[in-house]
Amino acid sequence: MTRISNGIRNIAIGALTAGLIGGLVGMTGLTSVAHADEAQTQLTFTKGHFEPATLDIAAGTPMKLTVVNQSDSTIEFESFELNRERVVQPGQTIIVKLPKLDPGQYHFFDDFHHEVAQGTITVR
Amino acid sequence: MPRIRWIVAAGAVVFVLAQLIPMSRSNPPISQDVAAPPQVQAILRRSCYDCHSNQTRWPWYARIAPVSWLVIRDVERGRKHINFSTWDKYADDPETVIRKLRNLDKAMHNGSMPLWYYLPAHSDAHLSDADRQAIEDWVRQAIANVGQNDKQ
Repeated sequence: MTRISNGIRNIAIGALTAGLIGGLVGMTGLTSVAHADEAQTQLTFTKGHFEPATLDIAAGTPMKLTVVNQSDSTIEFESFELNRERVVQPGQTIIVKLPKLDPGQYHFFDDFHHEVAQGTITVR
Repeated sequence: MPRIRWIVAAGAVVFVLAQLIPMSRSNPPISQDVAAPPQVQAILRRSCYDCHSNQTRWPWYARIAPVSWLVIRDVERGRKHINFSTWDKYADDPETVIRKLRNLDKAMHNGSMPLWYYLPAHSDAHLSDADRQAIEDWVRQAIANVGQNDKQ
C-alpha cells in the first residue's frame, strides 16, 4: 500500500515538475515573442568585406543591426536607402537602429572602401 | 567638305535622339526640412538646396541632353549624400545626424561645396566667408544639441 502511494506521489511530483518546466518553456517562448517585434542581426566587417553580404529580414519589423569592425582600418557603414551613415573604428561594435522597413532591397557599403565592401539587405 | 557635313548631320541626329531619352526631374515630397535659424536656412536654400533637397529649382538646361544628364546625376547624388528635405529620416539615428552635420562642416571648411562647376551658372550660390562661418557655427550648435538629446 505504501509502495503504491509512493508511486502515486512520484507520478504527481513528476507531473508537477513537467508542468513547471513546460510553463517555464512557455514563458520563455512568450518572452521571445515579445522581443520578436524588434529583430536583431549582425554584420561583421573583416578582410575587406561584410559578412554576410546579404541579409534577409521581415518587412514591418524594426531592427537592431549590430556592425562589428574586425579589421585594422576605420570603416563607414553607409546606406542611402536606409538613411544611415556611421563610422566604425577598428575593433568597435556599433548598433544601428532601423525602423520598420517596406519590402525591397536596401544597399549598404563601406564608404571608405566603396569598391569592394558592399552588400544588400532584402526585406520580404 | 561632304565628310564634315556627314559628321554635323550625324551629330544633329544623335542630339535629337538624346532628347528622347526619358529622364526624371522630380521634386519628391518633403517629409521634414532641417531645423536651422532663418539666416542659416536662407543660406542653405540659396547655395545647397538645388542638389541637397527635394526643392530643386531645375534650370532650363536641365531639359536639354546631354547637359540634363549631368544635372540630374548631380542632384541624385546630392540628395543621396545629404537631403535637407527628409531630415526626419536621419533623426531617429543621432549618430547619423552628427555624421551628416560633420560632413557639412567639413565641406564648408575645405570649400569643396558648392561644386566649382555649379557656381558659374549660379552666382547667387556663392558662399562668402561669413556664410560659411554661419553654417559652421550652426553645425557645431546642432551637434551639441543632438548629443544632449541623445543623453536624455
